[in-house]
Amino acid sequence: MIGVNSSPPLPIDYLYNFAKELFIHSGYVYFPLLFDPDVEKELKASGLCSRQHVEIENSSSNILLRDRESWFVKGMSLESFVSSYEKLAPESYNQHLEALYKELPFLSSIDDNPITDKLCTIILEILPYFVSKNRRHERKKLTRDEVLELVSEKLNIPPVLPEHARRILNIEKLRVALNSLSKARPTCSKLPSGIVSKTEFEHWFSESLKAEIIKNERRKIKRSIASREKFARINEKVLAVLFFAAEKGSLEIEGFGFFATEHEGEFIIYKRTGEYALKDYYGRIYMFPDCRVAIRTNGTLDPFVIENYKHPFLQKHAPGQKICMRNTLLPSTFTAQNAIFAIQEGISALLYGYKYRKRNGYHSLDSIPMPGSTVTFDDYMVPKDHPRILRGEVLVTNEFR
Amino acid sequence: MNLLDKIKKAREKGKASIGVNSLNTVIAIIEAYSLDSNFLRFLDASPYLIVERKNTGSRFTRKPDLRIPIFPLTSRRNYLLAKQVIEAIGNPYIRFSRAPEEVYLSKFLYRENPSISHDELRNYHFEILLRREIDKKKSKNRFQ
Repeated sequence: MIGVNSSPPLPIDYLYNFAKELFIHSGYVYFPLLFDPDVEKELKASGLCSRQHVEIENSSSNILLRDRESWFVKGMSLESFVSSYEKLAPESYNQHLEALYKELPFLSSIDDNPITDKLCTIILEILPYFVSKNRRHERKKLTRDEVLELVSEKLNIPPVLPEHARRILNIEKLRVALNSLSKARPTCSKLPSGIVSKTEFEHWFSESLKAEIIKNERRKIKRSIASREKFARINEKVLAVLFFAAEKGSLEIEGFGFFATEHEGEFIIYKRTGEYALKDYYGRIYMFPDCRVAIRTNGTLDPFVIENYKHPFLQKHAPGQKICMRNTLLPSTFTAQNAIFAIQEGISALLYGYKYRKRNGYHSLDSIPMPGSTVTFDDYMVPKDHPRILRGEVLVTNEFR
Repeated sequence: MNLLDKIKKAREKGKASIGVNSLNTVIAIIEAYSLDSNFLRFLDASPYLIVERKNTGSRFTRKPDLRIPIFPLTSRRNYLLAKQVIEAIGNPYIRFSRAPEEVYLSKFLYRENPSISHDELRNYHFEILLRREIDKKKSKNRFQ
């Protein structure tokens, strides 16, 4: 039961496997005390050994208990052991979960909703910001729904929700499952105080774990119902976009995009900088290629460049480098506002952060190489009267710094 | 005594070496071979019986491999048994034994020759060493 997972065993596994019997007291499980000369010395010093009986007080603070000649040491709370078993031994928990799925087959037929909260945030809040921003020159500012309709048109997403999506969003099935689960609630007996054999303990544990799993599944279904109810208020066209993105795992429109990472439910969101030019100390122009400034939805929101790229604010010429943000305080939790802020700060650093007078950053654009630097920008140098610059297609973004 | 004095005193005292001692060894053997109190009765038997019996088989007994933990946490029953074993046949060779048989033979080996090198004790089965000591004694008596 314990230690089924392949990860290194917890110290508790050793104690548990060693024990033939356990002691239950005040909601805690006590393990047989292991001996060595130091433990024996401490026991003697405490004077507990000389007493005929070590009182079992009616409190949970007792560390050591003695029952006749056997000593027991306080282990863990039974309640927290059952409730944290999913994290303590995930593989064993999944085995119990699969056993429950066999017993209650309707649980396994519940489809997971592919539209996660993070995906909703990206499509409903972050995407409209960046896409509508590109169209500011147009007279009318687009609303969120208009942006999503535009996305739907551009990506040729059929405006009708596919049949399987309708099935996934069907709440009725979930309600039936919730009712059936309420009826399947097992009767969980209480473990008696005092010495219990390992078999008794394991029997109690499997019953309690089953009750805990059912509780967790109920909570999960309730959460699913709530999230699906939220979708009922959303326009079908928007839902179609959400499903399209969830199934495809990636999307790009007008320089803004995202794709799924190896971690389930997590994404990398990016915005393309487009081509831009920077000026050096001597007024020479360097034209930089387009790159994607991205953030991850898990972990810190440090902006980085996806491509193999070089820039004064990037340490090397390599892919996936974090942009030097110096004193900018970046948020660490993923929200639409924080993600927009982090991406914009990253783009601003690349486009407007380099001051040609100060030559700030890891590298200087000038041909004078910085000590220890191997990155040079000579290959990006273009004449001042480059046709694309003259036409205004590529802007020198640090002109006035 | 302030913290600085305590640190100075501890440094002067030097580090106590954490090594394998007799108790750790006996506990490891008890756990590995699931020994019980019957082992104490076995310790009373004569060594020569075993040496004679073994003579009929292979001449070279291989020293068994056994990992001795530095910290010997064990159940109270094993701990008390280990202490009783050490009380019964306490000798400096016990910590080089790796099997119940060697624990038992250590007492007689120490009696025959208390100055066997640690390297030999670590690498050769006590039965071989004991047989060698007995042979040495026999040849000495013959010459006398």
